[in-house]
Amino acid sequence: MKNLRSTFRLRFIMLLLLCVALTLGSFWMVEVMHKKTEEVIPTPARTEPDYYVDNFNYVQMAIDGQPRYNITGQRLTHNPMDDSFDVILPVIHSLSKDNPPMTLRSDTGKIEDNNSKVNLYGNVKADRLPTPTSSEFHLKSEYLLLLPDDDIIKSDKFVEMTLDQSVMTGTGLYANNATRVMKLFKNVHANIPPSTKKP
Amino acid sequence: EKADSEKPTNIEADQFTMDDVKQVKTFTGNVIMTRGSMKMTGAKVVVTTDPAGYQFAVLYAAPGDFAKFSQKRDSDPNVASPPNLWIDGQAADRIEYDDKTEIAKLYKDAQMRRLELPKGATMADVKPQDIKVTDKVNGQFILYDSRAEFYSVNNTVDGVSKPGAGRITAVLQPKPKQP
Repeated sequence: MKNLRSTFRLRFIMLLLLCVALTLGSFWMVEVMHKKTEEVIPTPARTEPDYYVDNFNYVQMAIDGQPRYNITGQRLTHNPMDDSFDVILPVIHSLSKDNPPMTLRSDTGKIEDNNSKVNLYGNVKADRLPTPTSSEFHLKSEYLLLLPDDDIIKSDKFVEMTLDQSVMTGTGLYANNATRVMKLFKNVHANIPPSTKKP
Repeated sequence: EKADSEKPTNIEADQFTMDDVKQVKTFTGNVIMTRGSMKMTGAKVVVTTDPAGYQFAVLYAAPGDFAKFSQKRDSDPNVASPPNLWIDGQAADRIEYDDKTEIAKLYKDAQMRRLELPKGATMADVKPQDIKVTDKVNGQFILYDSRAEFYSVNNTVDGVSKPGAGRITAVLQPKPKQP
């Protein structure tokens, strides 16, 4: 009689194990069915631009809602990799009331760091018309970095600039349109015309 | 010479800073400033433009060096072949030049010399031994009015002569008798 009970216990345990395996298996199956296929296989990061805008006019507002500057151009292409924009033939106008209006243009541009840096490449021109408090200003260079939020332009390339009638060239520029301080960093040449007012 | 004031000013330097609000332009780093025949060299030049448009330049000497300037003098129009007259000056501290009054002020160990150069030579291309010094003046402060070609010398830096503050030396060559 004794071995009947032990064989019965053995058979019961085997059956119990089988049921447990079955339930776990079905849980696993449900899991697999729910999981979407993308999460399983990591898709490669997108390097190609994902959208572009033709003949655009982008206006950035200041905190008080007044327009601060606008960028127009032939084409604006967005690069998802670093969330930057490539612009063809950009034209930038500073619109803030307290600084003399300045216009910048170049062949191509790259806007990065969520619009806090605008790099301008190729035939860069900056022009500021004379106002009662500031002199006329024109600038030509091959590269210019504009920080539109603080109205600063910088360059490490050769720069030719005219201030009223004086013509100045040098390498390396820092110009702050808000404080209207201007610096040239290397081999500076200046040509200042004779002051026209004579007694 | 008088024609200089109608000529543009050319400045070469290492760095340039400008404050458009105060209309102050600063050139630093072995500065060479030329205007017509006038040439000024120094470590730093600060050019301020007054509202009327006149420029006021201050030329600072590098430590241990001199701020120098040289300019051609107007020759006597009725002399047949006028001598090639020049004037040059140097100062240990600074040279101030006022465009409106065309007066130059030289501060500290100042020296002015009247020179005669061979015909057609300029200060840039003349050989030192060809320079003939006709007058030489030293003092702590020299004021030179380039329009009237008159200069006054004082023995203190603030332009007022005080007794016991040092000697002024002047060497005036006799005028050569016209042959």
